Amino acid sequence: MTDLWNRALRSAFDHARELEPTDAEVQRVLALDAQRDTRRARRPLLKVAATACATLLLASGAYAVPPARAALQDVYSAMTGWVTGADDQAGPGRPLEAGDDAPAWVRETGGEKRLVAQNGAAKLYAVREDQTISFALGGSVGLSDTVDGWRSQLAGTAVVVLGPGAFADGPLDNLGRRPLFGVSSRPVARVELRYATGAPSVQDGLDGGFVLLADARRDPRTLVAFDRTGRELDRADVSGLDLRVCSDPRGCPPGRTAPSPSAG
Amino acid sequence: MNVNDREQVARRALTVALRTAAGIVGNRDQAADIAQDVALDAMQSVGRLRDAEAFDAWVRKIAVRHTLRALRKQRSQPPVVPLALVGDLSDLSADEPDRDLLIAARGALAQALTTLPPRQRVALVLRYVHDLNDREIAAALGCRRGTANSLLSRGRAALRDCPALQDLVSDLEVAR
Repeated sequence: MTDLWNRALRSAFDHARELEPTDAEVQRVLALDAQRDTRRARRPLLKVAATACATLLLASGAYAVPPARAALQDVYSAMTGWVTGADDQAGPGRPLEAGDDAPAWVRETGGEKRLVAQNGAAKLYAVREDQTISFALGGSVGLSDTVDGWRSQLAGTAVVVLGPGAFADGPLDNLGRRPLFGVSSRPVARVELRYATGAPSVQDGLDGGFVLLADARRDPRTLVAFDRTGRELDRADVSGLDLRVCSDPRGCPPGRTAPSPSAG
Repeated sequence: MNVNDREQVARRALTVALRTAAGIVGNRDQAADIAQDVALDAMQSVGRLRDAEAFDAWVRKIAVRHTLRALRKQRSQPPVVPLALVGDLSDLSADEPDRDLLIAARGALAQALTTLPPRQRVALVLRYVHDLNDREIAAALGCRRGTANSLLSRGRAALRDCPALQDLVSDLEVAR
């Protein structure tokens, strides 16, 4: 086996070798661990005197506040009322209106429909029908799963990238940008897509989701979520996203970042 | 490594688990879910760990167990949002004579790795992500040293035989 073959094999794992957890991920684990300790501590309290019990439960309740608050700020919690059907007004974005040019499959599907986010002509729709939630990424891509399935995707994080999609008339606009869709928790007011080089793409004024117009000619690296005060809430590694569009059915060749001239 | 420092334990456990799981599943989001479970297990049991120096090896073993379990579940329930990870190209110098070949090979390898049986993938990740020897790989997988060696050999052979890599393997052989 040649040295070059070994190097190629080794470099196929570069992405994993350099990964680091975000501060938000570390804090989430600490909060969940504290929550578990609190639950464990409560069990023997049933056997002690009522006064001591009340005092200790109050103390453990106060201790449980940070993880409980953290849990309320993830993407799934932000739309729990809507996805479970308990509160139709608690969903992301706003209800679909007659003037919204939603894809045909969204219009024809029954159930509750919402426009989660939009950026120019690119729009992110969500449809809740019985126990299934679907997202329409523009007019080209749909993602569906059960409520339980989405819970595992959206819980514990403030921002989730659903993926790149397309405009109504093609994957790229005349500036070589491609819509990148995602959902976010209630406190997230702004997202920034940072690239290997150059200025980030930004969207402000979010209400449960985003549609970033991402530069398909640059390598995306990180998506950062901020609250209204500018405080960073979470970040997601998006270095695996390939925003390029190639006419070759096998996909884009590795390492070439410029979009195909025939695309769009 | 101070095992009494909860934040240090959480951060180190997440790092080791994230790298292990991401190498195996090829998807950071899924790896982060697995890493969270691994870190919680580690935090719960770290008091029973006798040798703090063995922390990484211990976490790797938990991470391998969790990741293999996640892959078994995934067979019946494919991920809704697959994000295939590819490597950062910035570490390859523009002067590297075989740069294009390496970039093409790493992309094809990243795809081909997803087709390997889980335990072969785990063995390769432990070798190429964590730089472990056969004995350490065997410990993480809970198997004999010979079995670990065999998993590595079969994993490498399967990659070389992968149709998408045939031409690249020839080029790589010729290049040296």
